[in-house]
Amino acid sequence: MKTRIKELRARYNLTQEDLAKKVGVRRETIVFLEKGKYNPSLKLARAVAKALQTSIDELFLFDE
Amino acid sequence: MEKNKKPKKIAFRVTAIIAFIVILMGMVLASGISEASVSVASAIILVLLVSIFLRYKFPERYQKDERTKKLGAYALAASWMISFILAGTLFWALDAKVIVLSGTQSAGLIFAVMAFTMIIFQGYFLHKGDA
Repeated sequence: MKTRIKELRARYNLTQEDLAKKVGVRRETIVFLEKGKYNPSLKLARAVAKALQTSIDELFLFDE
Repeated sequence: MEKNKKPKKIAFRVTAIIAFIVILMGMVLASGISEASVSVASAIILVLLVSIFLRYKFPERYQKDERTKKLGAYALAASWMISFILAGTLFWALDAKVIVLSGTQSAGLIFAVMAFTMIIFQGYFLHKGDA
């Protein structure tokens, strides 16, 4: 699974810490999400998508 | 970045020392020395005190979220499974008299393995992720 979190975070000038605080998780969780090493819950995926003003579909890219 | 790295290193070292003490105490207990129970009690108190201190000193390091809870649960399950297999193996090995251990020694061994594997699996899953 790939994500566009890093790209969108940069677009909105947010640090990992800022995003983590916005969605209520640890900074390491954002690091893992960006690397595609963690499968978030639907709730977290939605929160991150909302914080980055996008949709889950556009944020998480799955290899078909 | 650097700010978070230091508490992580300190926490790892302290955890490693605690694990070593617990295993050492388990070995002392297994060797049948009568003062062992006092040592084990001291180790448990030490673990609690250090744990409280670290949580107070580095609260961000111990902040829980869905990832730490989920991966912690994986680690707990894996540790439980290893301990379960060990307990089953011990049961049959003791019953067949392949090895000779007292009840206290068996319990001490399972206790040490459970604590040790929990720390190992937690570190492994938190480092590896789940994707």
